[in-house]
Amino acid sequence: MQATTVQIFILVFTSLLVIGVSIISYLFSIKKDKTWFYAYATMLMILVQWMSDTGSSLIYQNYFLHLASIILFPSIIFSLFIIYILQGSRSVRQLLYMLLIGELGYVISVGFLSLLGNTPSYIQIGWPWISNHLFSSLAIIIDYFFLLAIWPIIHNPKYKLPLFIKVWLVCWILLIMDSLIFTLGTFWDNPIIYEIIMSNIIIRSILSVIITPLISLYVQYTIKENGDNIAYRRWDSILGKNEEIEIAIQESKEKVDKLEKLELEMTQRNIELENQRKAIANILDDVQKDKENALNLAEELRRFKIAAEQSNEMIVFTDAEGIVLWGNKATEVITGFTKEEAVGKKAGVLWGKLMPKEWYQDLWKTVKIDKKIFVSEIQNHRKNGERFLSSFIIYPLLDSSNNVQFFVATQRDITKEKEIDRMKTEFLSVAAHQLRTPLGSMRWNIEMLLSGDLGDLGVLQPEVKETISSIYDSNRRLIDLVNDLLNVSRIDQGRVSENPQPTDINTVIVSVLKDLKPLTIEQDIKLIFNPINIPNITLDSKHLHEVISNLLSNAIKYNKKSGSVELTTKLTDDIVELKIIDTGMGIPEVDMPRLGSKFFRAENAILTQTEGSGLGLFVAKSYVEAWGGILKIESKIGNGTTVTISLPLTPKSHILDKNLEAKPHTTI
Amino acid sequence: MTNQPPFILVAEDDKFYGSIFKAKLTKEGYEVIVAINGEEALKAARIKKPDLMLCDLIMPIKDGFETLKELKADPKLKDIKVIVLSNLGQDSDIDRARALGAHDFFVKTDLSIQDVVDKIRSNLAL
Repeated sequence: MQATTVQIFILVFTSLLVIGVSIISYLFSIKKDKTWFYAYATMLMILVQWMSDTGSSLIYQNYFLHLASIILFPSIIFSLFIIYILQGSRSVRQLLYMLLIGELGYVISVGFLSLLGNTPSYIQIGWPWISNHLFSSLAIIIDYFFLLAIWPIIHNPKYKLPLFIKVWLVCWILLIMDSLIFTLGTFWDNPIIYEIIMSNIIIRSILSVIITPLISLYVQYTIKENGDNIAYRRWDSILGKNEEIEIAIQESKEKVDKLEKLELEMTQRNIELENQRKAIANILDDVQKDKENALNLAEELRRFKIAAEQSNEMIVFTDAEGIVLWGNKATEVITGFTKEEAVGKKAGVLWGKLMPKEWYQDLWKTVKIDKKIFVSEIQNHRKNGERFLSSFIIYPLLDSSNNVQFFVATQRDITKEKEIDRMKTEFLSVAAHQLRTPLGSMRWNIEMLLSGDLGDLGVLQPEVKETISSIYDSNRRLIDLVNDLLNVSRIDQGRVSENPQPTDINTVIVSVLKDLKPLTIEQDIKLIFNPINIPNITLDSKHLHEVISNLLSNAIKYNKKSGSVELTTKLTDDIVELKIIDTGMGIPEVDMPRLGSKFFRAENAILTQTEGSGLGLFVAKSYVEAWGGILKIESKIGNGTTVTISLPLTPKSHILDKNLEAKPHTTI
Repeated sequence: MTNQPPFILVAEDDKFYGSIFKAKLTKEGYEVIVAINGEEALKAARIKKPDLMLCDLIMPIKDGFETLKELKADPKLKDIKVIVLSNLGQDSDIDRARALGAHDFFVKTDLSIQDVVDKIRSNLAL
């Protein structure tokens, strides 16, 4: 191979490389893709250095070529160095690492070649070669620190140096520094080292004269292109004198803080979102349950509706103002209004308005204000004007906040019942009349027979007289029974009229005792009564007479032979207490609960065949309770019975009021 | 009218009662006429004004209430004392009869025949 050809090739190739690297580096640095820039530049340096060294080794001891490789290497480094700084590097330190890596890479690559046996003879020089590179590395490091030291001086605005001069000074000073360092190598007593190092010094000296002005011009050009003083600022920042960095750091910190805050917010937001998600899941769950409940409810409601629809009782739903919302079939049947006619109208207006004003006021107060159930009998009218009587219940349905939402009213047409009642009463009075008529004439006839009014019967055989007497007794019993039945039916229907008068209970008792005297004598009963002063009670004396008479006759009838009956009276506060204490057979405990119910007679009373209808006590109890009093029975079998009635001095008696077309309502 | 026995007019449709009243009151020394309904009773009263009238309530042709009403409407007869003796004992009946001017009201079965005589006696004495 001709040495000149190789020389030219290497020179051209390396020169092209320098230019190429410069351009590529510039382009990359514009894009600020520093990683690529470092990698690329480093690789190129290794390549160039290796090639220059290889070239020199091909023509061992060809001094010129060796020099060329030495010239090329630092010039490349400087080019890179300046371009790198001016085009956006943040730190000179990074450049330093790059250069050192370049040197190391070169040492490794040459070492690798030596293993292949194709060792450049140049390397065989040994220590001189190594020392050259050691010096190069050392020069780079020292250059770096030196640059840090001198830049503030050169850049000081006080001197107002043009950029061109500044850069030239830097390069120049650096090269002198390098030369001084390499000069140290001359102290090494080795002709080859000496030769190499000297060549370095010479080359760098030439470089500082020729290359640095070129670089300076290049820099000037670049800055002009960028149009402002970016370069200065970059130099400042590179040399650690920049507030911008601090501001940038501060800004970065703030940004980091903001980011951290943001992250925290995001975390919280995430937690919130998660909670919301859970809440929504729960709601969905509830909705599902609600749906099931609603379906069940709907089914229940459907069944209920069928039942309500078929009911014989009129069932009406209204809103809180009494406007009809729904009514069942019976509503149509009873009132004559069709559903379409009724819905949306006031129930009271449709079929009501027949009751006294106070009754309606009472109704609304009970259901709307007290929110309670109202029960009464009510007179309403049908669509055709016909009146009907019904038993009426209305109750409010409340919402969750306890306000009346709906009313449910049921009505049972009791017009027919009332008619039947009326007929029953009529029948009873007619029947009573019809029964009483023969009984009465029988009674009077027997009386006249016995008193001789129908003529002297002569001396009757005792058996005949006894027979007539027993007929008379039976007749009297029948009359009593009819009277009792009449009383009971009147009480049942509330058709007993009270004529309350101030009544002296002692007078009534004495009168009863007088009436019952024959019975007392017959039964050989001792009557004990010591009247004390009791104020007048306001009630119907006829009824009180009946009460005392019924109780006292029981006490006599169910007494033992030659027993006694004691009557005592007592006044405590406003309550009059009358006790009738007998020494009779007593009442079996099992019969106590049914005592005082219609036609009921205790077991032992029936067995002894004592006459009785089982109505006397019922009648007495009915009156006493109507007056607001209490009738109490205490008894022990075989030990007699004590009946106590307690009456208020001013008894109420309205339940016996016969004007009971519509009974007073009860409130539940 | 010291020697003249008191005249009792009885309005009674039931023949058994009628005969009892007739027999008992005659025996007690009264002059007795038993009319079998209200119409007859009023006729009798117009012929001879009774000192006292016993009146049943349920009677054919003219019942006790009607009779009372007419009697009290007649200026000549309105001062006749009337004792209603009936087997209707409901308060409404009693009230109605009293309102129409009945002097007394008794349920037949509640009284013995002697009681009836006593009531007549005490009413005539007034």
